[in-house]
Amino acid sequence: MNYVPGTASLIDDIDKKHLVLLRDGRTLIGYLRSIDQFANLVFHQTVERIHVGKKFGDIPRGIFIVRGENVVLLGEIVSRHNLVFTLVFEMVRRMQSKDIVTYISLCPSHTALIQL
Amino acid sequence: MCFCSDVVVELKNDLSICGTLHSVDQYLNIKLTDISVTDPEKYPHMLSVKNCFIRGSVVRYVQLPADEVDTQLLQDAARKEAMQQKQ
Repeated sequence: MNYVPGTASLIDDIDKKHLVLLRDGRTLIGYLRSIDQFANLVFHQTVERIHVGKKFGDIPRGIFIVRGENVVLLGEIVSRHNLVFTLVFEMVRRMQSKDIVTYISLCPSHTALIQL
Repeated sequence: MCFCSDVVVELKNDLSICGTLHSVDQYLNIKLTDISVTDPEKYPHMLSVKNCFIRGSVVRYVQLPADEVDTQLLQDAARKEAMQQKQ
């Protein structure tokens, strides 16, 4: 992990929420605060997630220093809330870009859909 | 079995990950984007992860699409490297 452009570096992952898989099978989730050349990691507001089938439970762990040799995989967690917001915005943008204007007129006796 | 457009990294813990190769470093640490776990989804906790960093020391295999590798060029380059190492 060095500063030569084009090489794999964790520099851009700092301060983002990450999931780390450890060699002993544990899953830790937290904000990545510090890294080094051995992939030693410092996690903030760490939570250990235990999975049983489709369900999971979180144990708050505070600040964690993970020795690089125990790291299997590190993945950025994209907040679900952001995804939902992006999706709704996309729908609205698509509606805006279409030239079809849809009117729905409601009458006590019938519902009519008029397209221009 | 699912196959990726780019690479499949098989780890020493038997986990296989499909993804697009983003970058590599001197330790052969790998960064993949748009990942998905191949074979049965035995690892539910990976659902919200789109990009990942894999430590080189835990990689067993990296499966590359055969048609994207110029084996002749690779052989020549490897031969050159070996010659340079000898000197």
